[in-house]
Amino acid sequence: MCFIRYLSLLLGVALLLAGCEPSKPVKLGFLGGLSGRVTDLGSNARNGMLLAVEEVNARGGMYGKPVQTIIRDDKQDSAVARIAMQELVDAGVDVVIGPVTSVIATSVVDIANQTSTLMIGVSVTTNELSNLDDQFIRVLSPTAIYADKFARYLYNTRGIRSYSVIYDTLNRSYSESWVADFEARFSSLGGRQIKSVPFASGEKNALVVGAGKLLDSAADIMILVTNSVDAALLAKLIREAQPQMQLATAEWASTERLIELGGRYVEGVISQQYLDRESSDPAFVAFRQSFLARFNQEPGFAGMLAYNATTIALGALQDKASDETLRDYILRLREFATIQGPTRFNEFGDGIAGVFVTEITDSRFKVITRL
Amino acid sequence: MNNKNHSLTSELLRQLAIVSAIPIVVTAVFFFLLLLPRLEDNIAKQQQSLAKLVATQTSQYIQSAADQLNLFVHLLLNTPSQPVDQSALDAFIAANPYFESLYILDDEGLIVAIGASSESAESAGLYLGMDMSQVNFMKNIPDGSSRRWSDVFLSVVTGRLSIAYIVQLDNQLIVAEAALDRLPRLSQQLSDEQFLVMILDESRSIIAHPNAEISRQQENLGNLPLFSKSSDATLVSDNIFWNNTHYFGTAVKMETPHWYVVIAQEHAVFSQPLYVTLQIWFTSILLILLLSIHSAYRRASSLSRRFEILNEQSARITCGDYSVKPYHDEVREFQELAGNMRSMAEAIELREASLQQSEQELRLINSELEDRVNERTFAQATTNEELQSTLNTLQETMRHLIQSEKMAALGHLVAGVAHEMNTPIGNALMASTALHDFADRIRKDLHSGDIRKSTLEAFLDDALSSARITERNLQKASELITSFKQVAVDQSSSQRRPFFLAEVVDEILLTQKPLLKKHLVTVTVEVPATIEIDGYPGALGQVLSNLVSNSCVHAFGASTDNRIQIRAEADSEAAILLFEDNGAGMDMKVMKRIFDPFFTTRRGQGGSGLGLHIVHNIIAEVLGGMIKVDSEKDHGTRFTLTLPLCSPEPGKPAEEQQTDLVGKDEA
Repeated sequence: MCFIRYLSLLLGVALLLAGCEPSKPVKLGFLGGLSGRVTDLGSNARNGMLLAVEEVNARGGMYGKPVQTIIRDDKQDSAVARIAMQELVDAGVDVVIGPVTSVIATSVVDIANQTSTLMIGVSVTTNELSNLDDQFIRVLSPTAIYADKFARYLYNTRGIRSYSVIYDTLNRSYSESWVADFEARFSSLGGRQIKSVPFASGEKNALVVGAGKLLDSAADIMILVTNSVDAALLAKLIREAQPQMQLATAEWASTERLIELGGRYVEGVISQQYLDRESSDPAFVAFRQSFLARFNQEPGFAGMLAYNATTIALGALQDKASDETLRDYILRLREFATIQGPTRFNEFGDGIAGVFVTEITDSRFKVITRL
Repeated sequence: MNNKNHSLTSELLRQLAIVSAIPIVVTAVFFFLLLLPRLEDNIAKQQQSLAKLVATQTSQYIQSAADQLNLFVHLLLNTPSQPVDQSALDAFIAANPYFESLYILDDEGLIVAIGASSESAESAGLYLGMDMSQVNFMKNIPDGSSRRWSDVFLSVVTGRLSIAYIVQLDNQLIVAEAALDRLPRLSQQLSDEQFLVMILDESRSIIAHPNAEISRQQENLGNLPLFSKSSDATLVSDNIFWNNTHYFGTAVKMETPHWYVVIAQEHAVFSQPLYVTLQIWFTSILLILLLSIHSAYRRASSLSRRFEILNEQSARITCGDYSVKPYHDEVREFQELAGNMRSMAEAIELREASLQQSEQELRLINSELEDRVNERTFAQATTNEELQSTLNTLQETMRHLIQSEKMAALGHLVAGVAHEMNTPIGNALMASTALHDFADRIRKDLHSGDIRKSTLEAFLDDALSSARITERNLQKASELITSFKQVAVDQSSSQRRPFFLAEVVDEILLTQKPLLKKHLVTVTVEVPATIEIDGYPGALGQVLSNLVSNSCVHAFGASTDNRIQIRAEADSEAAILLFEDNGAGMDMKVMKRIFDPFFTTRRGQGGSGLGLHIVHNIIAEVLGGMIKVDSEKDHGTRFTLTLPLCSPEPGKPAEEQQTDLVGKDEA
């Protein structure tokens, strides 16, 4: 019947215009430290994630809708992070990019597992989350790998035989395992630990007290397993007293902020980097230019890793079969083309990544070698 | 029926839909092209006023902070006590409401003195001696400005977003950090359900947002269309999508510092009344549309029903049912249509009746016509039968005649044989009679005893001479008989055998000698002895006999110089036999018919008219060859016979069987 056909057509159009219910857009959650004194890592990672999303949206988004981002600040506080994570889950995010630090990752992973929400860690390297069949995957290798590599490098290449270390207990899951892994390898090579000083970042006079414990320990090198701001201040405190002391930092501290705040005191500091800032790889150069233009800021390792993690997540959401979970898809493919070489995962979703040894020269991270 | 046809109902509904779409489209265009931009324009103006207000307030706040520090620096410079007193710095920080830390840098960028509020976590000692030369806000200092505001940065001392007022002295820098906590509060106070007030720093990162948490996160909004259009414009309004929400926003660029004030309104909020209006409007349009569709449908159905009735009537008329029922309709056109239909039915009925009558008449005429045709056909058949019978009789007669011709030929042959045999046998008879006489005479002499040696010798000579004559003539007779026998056998038996053409020619000429002699004909034969043909010599003989007698009877008159020339030549396939006479020749008219049966120029003088017809048939059908005649009146006749060296098997006629006529008078 023509009449019924017309009527239903009209009603359909009417409903479409009146109800205009859009199809569900892809929601991307971000969890990272975005406020307080130590936000360089978090905001850099957030910017990397935003850049990747904006690039996808500029191409028309996914399923015809712009990808939505829901950003939560964990304030480097486990309790805050759990609330933020729960909020992301409640908002119905498809995947969470983050967190940025190991301590937050260990404190929210159970929420991810209970709600089957995939988290892609940006610069989380704690050993606690290694080789677990869980909802947490990451683009980097566990700390054990990096600490081990660094110990070998310092012992074999630099001829370092003794060291003292100061580490931040606030990010215990990263720093303690880093120190333990480093010590295990270094002592097995024949090296010696002179002092190991824990401190709690942000507490009154913690840095001055910590630096005081470290001084005059007659070690070949002092290693700072801290965030970048603390590392800069510690470097200043140490070098004021012992200007010739060789310093090194763990990967965590090796951000632009270390040089900005450390100034002359961080010259010659050896550290490991997750990226080569001076890479001439065209993809990286283009990425760096976009990042600078968009945020008026250099992409640090957190920015690049978050960008890569977001690219992997969005690509996987686009390509995976409808009956396959995002995690299964990523762990089935295991290798994804990303900035500065492919990102690889092992069967548990831990990254398999290389690392660059740098030395700060003329206020720049100069790449010495790749490990 | 064409599938693209529409029903009346759908057609009417379609038209209605088009007509109703026009006001809907017009209203929508009006809404989107006129109303919405005007609304946005109004909102933009509102937002701009608010943004300017916020910008002024912020500038004033910043300016009063700068004034405070300038005053302090003035005091500091005019105080003789050097170096700078740490407690003076602390006192200034404690006393003023803007700045939270103040430090003095030497010419290498190291902090030489610092005053901080008591809230600051670390002791001043931690920061003394810190190298600030690499800090972002210290780099890229514009030349020539001794007092200026820095970009926004995260203070390492306080951990808060801050800006610094920097005063350049001779070899020192005084840096005073002011936390921006007040700005979020300002933003919070000014924002309400309608307006979102934000302040962005020079690099377009958020430094003030009603939500203090967002204020701290320094999210960069440089990608929004508000800023991408032109960096120089001090006032831009546009649609923006941020934080998963659609806004309409206005950005105002401040003079000092170079910050931006952004006022934004959620689309959902400001366009709410508009959308409600639109929804009401749309619902009423929809209702009207449905109502009119309903009424149009009813109207169309009623029209459709009438057409169906009329349709049915016309269908009935098509089927021959002219009893149209009376139809009443309040619509004049339908009433008229029904009336016309009835008239049409009546007219058709009338015309049909007259048609039937004419048809019957036609049928009658037709049947008469048929009878006549039958009669004629019968007569025709009878004539045909008669004709056929005549033809049969004629063919029979022809066969008889051919037979007679053959017998006549045989008669000629016998006459020829008799004639030829006559001379040698007569001679032999004469010689033997003479010998008889000699013998009688010698016996008489012997009995009388009056015999002499000379007489005996003369008798013996005569006897021998007679015997020789007899022998020679009998020999000749025998040869003749052998020859005739061959001809007779060939002629009568139609036997196939290989033969030499020259032999057959000679034999036939021999049998025709009496005829030739009678007509004083000289025959010249130039036939190579080597031409051998595998075929029917009898048939060829008959052909030659006929040609010779034809020449003698028809071509040669009273003249004495009568000549026949027979020549032959051969290639690998066929032999060409030329038979020429120098007789009377013939004209084209005669020549065209000479091979026709019963054609003769001597009707009633013994000509059967079959001679050359037989010749033609033998050559074409038995020997598989061709015959061509070539003649001109008074200039003789030439027959050219083309004979294949191997005649076809009986019943298999040669591929080419034809007759060529070449008449010189034709040319």
